[in-house]
Amino acid sequence: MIRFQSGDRSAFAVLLRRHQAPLYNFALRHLGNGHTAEEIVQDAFVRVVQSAAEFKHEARFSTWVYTIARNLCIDHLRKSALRRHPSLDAPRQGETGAGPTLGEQTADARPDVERAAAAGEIREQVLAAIAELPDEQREVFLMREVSNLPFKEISRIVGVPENTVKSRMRYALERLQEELSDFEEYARALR
Amino acid sequence: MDCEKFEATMMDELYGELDEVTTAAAARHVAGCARCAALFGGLRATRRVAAIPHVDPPAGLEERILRAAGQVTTTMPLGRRVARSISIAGDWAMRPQTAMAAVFMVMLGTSMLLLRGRSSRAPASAEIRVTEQGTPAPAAPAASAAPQFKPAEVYPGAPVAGARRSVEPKALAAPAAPSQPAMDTADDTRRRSAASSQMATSDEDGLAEPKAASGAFAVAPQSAGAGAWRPAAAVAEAEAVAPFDSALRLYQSARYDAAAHAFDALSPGDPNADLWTARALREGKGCRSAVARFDKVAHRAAGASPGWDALLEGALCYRSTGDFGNARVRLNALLSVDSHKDRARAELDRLSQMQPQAGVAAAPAAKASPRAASPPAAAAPAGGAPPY
Repeated sequence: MIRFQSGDRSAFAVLLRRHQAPLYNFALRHLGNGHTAEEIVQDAFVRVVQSAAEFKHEARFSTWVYTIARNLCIDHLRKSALRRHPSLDAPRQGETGAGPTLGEQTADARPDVERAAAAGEIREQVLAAIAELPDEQREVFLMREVSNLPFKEISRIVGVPENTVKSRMRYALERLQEELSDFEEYARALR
Repeated sequence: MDCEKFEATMMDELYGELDEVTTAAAARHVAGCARCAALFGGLRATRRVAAIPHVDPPAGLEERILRAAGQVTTTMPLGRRVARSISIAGDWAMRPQTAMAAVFMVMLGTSMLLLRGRSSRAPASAEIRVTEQGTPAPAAPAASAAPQFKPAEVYPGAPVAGARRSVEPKALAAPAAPSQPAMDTADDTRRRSAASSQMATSDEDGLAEPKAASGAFAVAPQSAGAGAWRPAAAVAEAEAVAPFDSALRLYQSARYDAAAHAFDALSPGDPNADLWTARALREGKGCRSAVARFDKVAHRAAGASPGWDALLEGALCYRSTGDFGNARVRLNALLSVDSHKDRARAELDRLSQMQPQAGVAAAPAAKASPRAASPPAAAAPAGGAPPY
């Protein structure tokens, strides 16, 4: 970021490659729409360019850009007239299905049709449960689980104390635990 | 670690943000606490189940963002561009290298300033202290008060207010005030040399016609040194000749009788003052009253500048009264004086032109005068040779 502020435009491409994927996943899981997530990420980086002069090196660049993206997501959610009620049967826009699934992460190497089907069912159920989380808990959960940001940085992005962030995270996990109680036994069995 | 402390650190333990010591303490507590172990195990299992698969962003997203950023950069408002420029400049300004360079430049500039100031100082021995004395001289009324005679212009060598009335080079070379006395000496020298040439301006009426444009050393009375900058020693000398100045001012203001008395009071032992007495008498009472005084000065200051001047001016006075014989005798005496011979020769030529016309009228006058055709120095002591 220092290089970019000094006029090195190639530094912006480096920042973009480093942060666009976590930001995109955060916006995608937060908003549930791939196209909107792309717009959020693009707008966030455009604002980075516009406000580069105002950036102070008191915090990390990731904290700053996640703050911008979070504010854009909040604006989008406020403007959205429809409350998201994702259907388990509806195709998930923007999600390509690529990447490891829970089954791929936890199952053994042997392909198992029954196990793959269960993993897909769990994934759908997890995404639905995450979508049902309150916004303040969902954003903290996604920053922690998807973007792998530490609690301290999340507290700076969200603007609340760190203990509040941990409490929200615990509430989100407990709610997911309740929603996924049917699969908990399965997860424990996979240990 | 008890259950309360474990719950406070449970989320950190779940995401691996605890240090090793606290992690070990938490593990020992979980191993001995079934409740906390169940709570922690449930959250850990939920986290595993709720793991979200990572989705790669669309292929064209990066390119679109770069394009949008480029457009924003080119269409950035002036205010933001200025802010960004200030930010870049501020970023450079905050760097330690810049601060060190600035400090170095300040030190260099200060050193240059001090060195320059020291080298430009003149040595103490070369310092000249100047003291202002007196007040500006008032405007001279001579122009209106003396319409027919302006001594400062007619006689370029005429003393001015504040000047010395007698020239003594030894006394003038005071070490404390080397510049102004030297100037006075030069002025007096010029006065003497110019006096003879400027006397040629007189015509039949005597010495009344000014010739300011003849290249003379014309000094206006108001330009005298009363308000000028003078060294302290010169000021002291000027104060000593204040009576002479006051007499001269009387003369310049056309109060010739008073000036004659004032100069006369100064005249004992001072041929210069005596000469000015004769001049005041000439201007106040006419040449007939002044010729005797001119002769007296010529006798007393024989061989000196006042004596030559008195001889010349006396000759001109004789000529103006028609006593061409006495005039010729005095002018002939000046032919042997280098500083006055040219002027004397010129006056003799004029006298030769005038004498045929007035010869008849002048003869009785010459006979009537007991001192006719006899130079004043002819009455000098028998043992003394006449100076001219």
